[in-house]
Amino acid sequence: MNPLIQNYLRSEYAQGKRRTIFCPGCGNGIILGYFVRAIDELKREDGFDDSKLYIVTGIGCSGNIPVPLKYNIIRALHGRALSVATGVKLVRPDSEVVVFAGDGDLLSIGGNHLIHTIRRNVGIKVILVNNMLYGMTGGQVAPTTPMEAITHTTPYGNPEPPLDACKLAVSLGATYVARWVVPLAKQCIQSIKELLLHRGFGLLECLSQCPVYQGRYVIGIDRPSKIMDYYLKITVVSDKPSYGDKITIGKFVDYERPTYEEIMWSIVNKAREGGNYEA
Amino acid sequence: MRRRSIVVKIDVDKYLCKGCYICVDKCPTKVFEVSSVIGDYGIFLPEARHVDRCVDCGICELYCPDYAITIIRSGGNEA
Ligand SMILES: Cc1ncc(C[n+]2csc(CCOP(=O)(O)OP(=O)(O)O)c2C)c(N)n1
Ligand code: SF4
Ligand code: SF4
Ligand code: SF4
Ligand SMILES: [Mg+2]
Repeated sequence: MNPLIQNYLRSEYAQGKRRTIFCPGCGNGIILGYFVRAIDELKREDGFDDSKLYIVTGIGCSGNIPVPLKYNIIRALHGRALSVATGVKLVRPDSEVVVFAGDGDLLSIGGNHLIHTIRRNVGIKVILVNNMLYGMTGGQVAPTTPMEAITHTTPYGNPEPPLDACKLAVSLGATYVARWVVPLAKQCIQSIKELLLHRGFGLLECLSQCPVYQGRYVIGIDRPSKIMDYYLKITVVSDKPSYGDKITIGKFVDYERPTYEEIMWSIVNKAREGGNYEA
Repeated sequence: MRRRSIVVKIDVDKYLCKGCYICVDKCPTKVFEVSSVIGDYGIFLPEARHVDRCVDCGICELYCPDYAITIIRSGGNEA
């Protein structure tokens, strides 16, 4: 077992009694490794305090990414990770709240929550794992599935155009938005570090391979390393999000504005001062 | 300054490896080969047969989805 990762695993996993649930070559396992390395680097460089870390997950394979880690983990209902995370952030504004969610979770069943969490600028950091379909339930079409792609629920080709999560986030005023792709390890790790240090809402979309469903049906390649190569072929670095035949990757926005928890707590404090409120 | 260390061994955990062969395909100097040894998941384990070719880029460790790979170095403390 890799000793760096082992350091961050819960005891059953660190002792080798449990293993991740992912299929061979799944990008989720790679993202888990990137996340651990980002935290490890931050702890050494900036004295990042990981005892304040709370991780909330959506449902789906990607919701399982942080499960082996020895952090506070909340498994929310499908699509509701952001609502639970907002609650944690409001109650403990000095905590670092990270959400792991899949494209199906965050953009279809949870799309409504995504819109309002961004609008409010809640200081939570979302790692969106985009494998272009619903992996866990057997490869059904998702809002991110490319048009005409074959999935289990679109056997004649997907009739719907896909949704660009980053474009949506930028248009709603998200204060940090980036999209990277699993084969670009350095960029992914760097972006996770920026996300963790960011004040306000942040979204990192990570294009990831699901070899068994997306690989076989959407792309037509099932060898994990070949899907990684394919991803590098269809992506191009830019400062503007776009999600078509070519998908743009890079950091799209990074700025600050007042966060929801700051505004809420200033209201709470004002009310307490004015009304002789006893805490 | 970066200290020079030498990769002496690359360990593949036979309990964790799922046989995705990302390491085999992605190593820039083709250090890995698929062996005939069967791992816990019933797959043929990759084996770092040509460690002498390793350039210590760390890609195999970074890409392994199941944290099965450990690069073992020596001489890290010498100038
Ligand atoms: C309320 C509810 N509806 C449906 C499901 C079934 N379900 C589980 S995971 C999932 C989709 C997951 O897709 P995605 O978020 O893309 O995650 P992935 O598995 O691809 O990582 C669905 C529909 C559920 N668990 N709960
Ligand atoms: S179904 Fe796809 S996303 Fe889920 S673990 Fe398997 S390869 Fe990964
Ligand atoms: S990358 Fe990891 S899991 Fe995949 S074959 Fe190599 S050692 Fe095994
Ligand atoms: S460190 Fe780089 S060169 Fe060495 S085995 Fe791993 S991928 Fe190959
Ligand atoms: Mg998905």
